[in-house]
Amino acid sequence: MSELAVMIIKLAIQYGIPAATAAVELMKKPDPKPEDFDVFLKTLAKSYDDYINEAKLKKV
Amino acid sequence: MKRLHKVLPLILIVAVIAGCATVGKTAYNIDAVTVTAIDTSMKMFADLVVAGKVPQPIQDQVKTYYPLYQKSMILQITATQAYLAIQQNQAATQGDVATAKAEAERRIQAASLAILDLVDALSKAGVPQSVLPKSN
Repeated sequence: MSELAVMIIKLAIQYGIPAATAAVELMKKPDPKPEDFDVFLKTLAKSYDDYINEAKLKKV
Repeated sequence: MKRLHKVLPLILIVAVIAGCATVGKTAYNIDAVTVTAIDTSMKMFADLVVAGKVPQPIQDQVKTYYPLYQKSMILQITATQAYLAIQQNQAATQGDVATAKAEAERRIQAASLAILDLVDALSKAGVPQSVLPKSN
């Protein structure tokens, strides 16, 4: 089994099927174009404080 | 030496990218795995911080390494995008392609090191190894 498949199964076990499905969707591109990488740039725009604030909101 | 041992698989990834016919697909999959796993790990880390389970020095480490990871990944993705664009450009010379490829490889190596630092800090914070990107 590939490392990729193992990671997807772990995601599914720990975070449920939606998280694993999202990961699989990201990897479906058969022949990615330069602009397809923009999805990662958007994810990388999230700051350290954004993560902490989201977790605080979840707890409230 | 331990650090070199950890970096070796990432260097192999660079070698695979360098020799692979489907560079775009390989780079895309590596970025998908890394960005998704770090995003999930950061969410888990934030939950641990809010629960008061992460000592301040470890929080400071993650706070330092996360922006470095972001910056190096953005530079790496931008370099990969440029390389793919040049590959698809009929007017590009072999020299243009070689220069873009070398730049992408250099950025991938730099990003790999930044990922290792962040993963180490997240691991110390208590994020399980099974969630973190595989680095050894």
